Amino acid sequence: MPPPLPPSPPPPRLLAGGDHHPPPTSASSPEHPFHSAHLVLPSPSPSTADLSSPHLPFALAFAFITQPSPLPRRLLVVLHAAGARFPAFYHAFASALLSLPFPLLLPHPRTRLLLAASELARAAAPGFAPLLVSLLRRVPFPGDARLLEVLHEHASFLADEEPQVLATAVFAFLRLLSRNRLAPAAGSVECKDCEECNGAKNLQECRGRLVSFCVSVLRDHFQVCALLGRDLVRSLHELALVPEFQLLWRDLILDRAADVCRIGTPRWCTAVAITSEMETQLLFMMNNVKWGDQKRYQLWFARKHLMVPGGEERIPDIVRFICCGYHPTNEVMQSGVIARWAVVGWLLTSCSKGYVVANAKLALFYDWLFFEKGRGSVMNIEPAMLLMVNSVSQYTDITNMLLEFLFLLIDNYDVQRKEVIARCVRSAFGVLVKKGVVPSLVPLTGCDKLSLLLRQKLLAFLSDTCEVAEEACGKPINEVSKGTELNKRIC
Amino acid sequence: MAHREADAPSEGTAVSSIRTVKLKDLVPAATNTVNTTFIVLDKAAPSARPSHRHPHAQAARDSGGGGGREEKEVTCLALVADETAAAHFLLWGGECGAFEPGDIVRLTDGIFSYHRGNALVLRAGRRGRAEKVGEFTMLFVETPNMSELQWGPDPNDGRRMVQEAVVSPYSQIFKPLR
Repeated sequence: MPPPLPPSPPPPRLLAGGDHHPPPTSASSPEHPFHSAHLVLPSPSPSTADLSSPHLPFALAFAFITQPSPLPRRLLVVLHAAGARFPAFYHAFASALLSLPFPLLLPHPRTRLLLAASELARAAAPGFAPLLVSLLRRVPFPGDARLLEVLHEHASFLADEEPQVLATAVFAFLRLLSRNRLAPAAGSVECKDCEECNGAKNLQECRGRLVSFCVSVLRDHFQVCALLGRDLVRSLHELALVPEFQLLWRDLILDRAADVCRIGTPRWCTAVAITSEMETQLLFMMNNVKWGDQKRYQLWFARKHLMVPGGEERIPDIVRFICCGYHPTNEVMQSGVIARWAVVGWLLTSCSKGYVVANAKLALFYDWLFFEKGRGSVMNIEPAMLLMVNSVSQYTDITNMLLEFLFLLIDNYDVQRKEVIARCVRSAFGVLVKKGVVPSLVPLTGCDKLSLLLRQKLLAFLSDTCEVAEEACGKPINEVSKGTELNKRIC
Repeated sequence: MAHREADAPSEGTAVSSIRTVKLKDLVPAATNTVNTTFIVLDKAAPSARPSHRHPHAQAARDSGGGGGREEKEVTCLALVADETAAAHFLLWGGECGAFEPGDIVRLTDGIFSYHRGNALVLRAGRRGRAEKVGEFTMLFVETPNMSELQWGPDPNDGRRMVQEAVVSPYSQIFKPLR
């Protein structure tokens, strides 16, 4: 009698998470569409009906990221057969991969996800760009050196066809270099028996290649990198002491920095330097959480994202995201939710390292230094202004610290262009009052709690051109003292 | 005080396993019929005691704390809430390490009842299940806290409980952060 057939083993898991996560059989598990589709994978010579099945993208993605090493060739055949026949297939395949929560991905599926991204990029298949960008937002993670390989291999193609992806890569890597100073990536490759996973390298192991990739793309495709706007210069400043970047500054950046700084930072760029979980949670705070209810959310956010290795170093990038990456509508601003300036204030007080505070303040004022009337967005400079004005009565030390830093920046950020920067900052003050972000600057110029020296400096700075000063203060200078009297009550 | 149909203990009918309630509609009852979703606001330190062949011994074993020695029953009290109310949730065994503040948890077939004397807590119990379904993105209120209410038998129906008084508007164990 033949032995009874052994029960078929359960399909392999994609995500970590024990008993207290929904099982893959539950509709609320991100694995569910994969598990319910994985049996439909067609034979090595699929029919048209097989290829057009709506389950195929999930089935193929499942097979792609779970099959043991080496990846069966027939999966590539099916992928490109379906993609050639139905152009939307590649998108569906990439979306299926993107639907998995990356932080929970098990090591083998994670290695394979990178392989899938690399295969789509190699074939220039639609859908590879969002996949690469989403992975770039995740660095550092175990095995992430593969991303560098893919980008290095396709840099010229990307520069022509997907310049934003190349610029994203440069920005993600520059931020990684300056932020972490390449602290070890969290976690390890635990897929022991698999050569593919064991051979996966981390970016921390190839710092030299990472630096030379950034330098060569900056040299060969500077126009593409300039898409990042002034945040490119901000990032390069932080790396100015790294020898390779020192040379780059001298040869290339010095002459062009002023022009690049006139380009505002696009929104997509500020999102690159924070993970998608951070983005979701920050947006939830600024769109849904009412004033007074934010404490617990802040605590959770800090525990999860800031109090981890390399976490605090993200604060300047989070500040940039808040200033340039998210501009709430009037409706949201009036709905009683926590304001952007308050979130920035909390972040500033969460910094414990001196250089992080300095970089965070620079991030907050960065658009002030290059503000041009009619060109710059008032929403980019609004959080700094509101934080200074709203802190003045209760948290005067914050206002003092910020104003002092602003003057330091004006004098020292770029000594050769000091006058231009001063003009931009004056213009920023003027526009903020003119647009009604603050009714006047009297809360600053007339507040006794603020250091006298700073107030005098501010008045002198603003009165450099009378027009701006009047605009900024909302009244002629000689009336300011009257305002001061009135304002004593507020302070 | 009047309360809703959804609260009525339904003696394990099939309907009970799919009907979901908000925390403000919780009523103490000795049935595993609570289906709800909440966010964990805070968590106390776990405590352990000998298990004494308690029905939850299985859960305690799962936590892996014993390692062959005397089995301990590990529990951990948490403050949970949704947009209508808060409550105390008692984590058992492996649940203690599985959920952190900020986690969004779906409870199926849970129970809201008096535990060890007089602590009114929500828990998964032997038949229920708690699963992490998300993180962070949920609004909540910290008052009323359903575990800080005094309940008594319904004069019209002795098998049911009704709210009699508010012991404390907020949790007395987990103070609100302001």
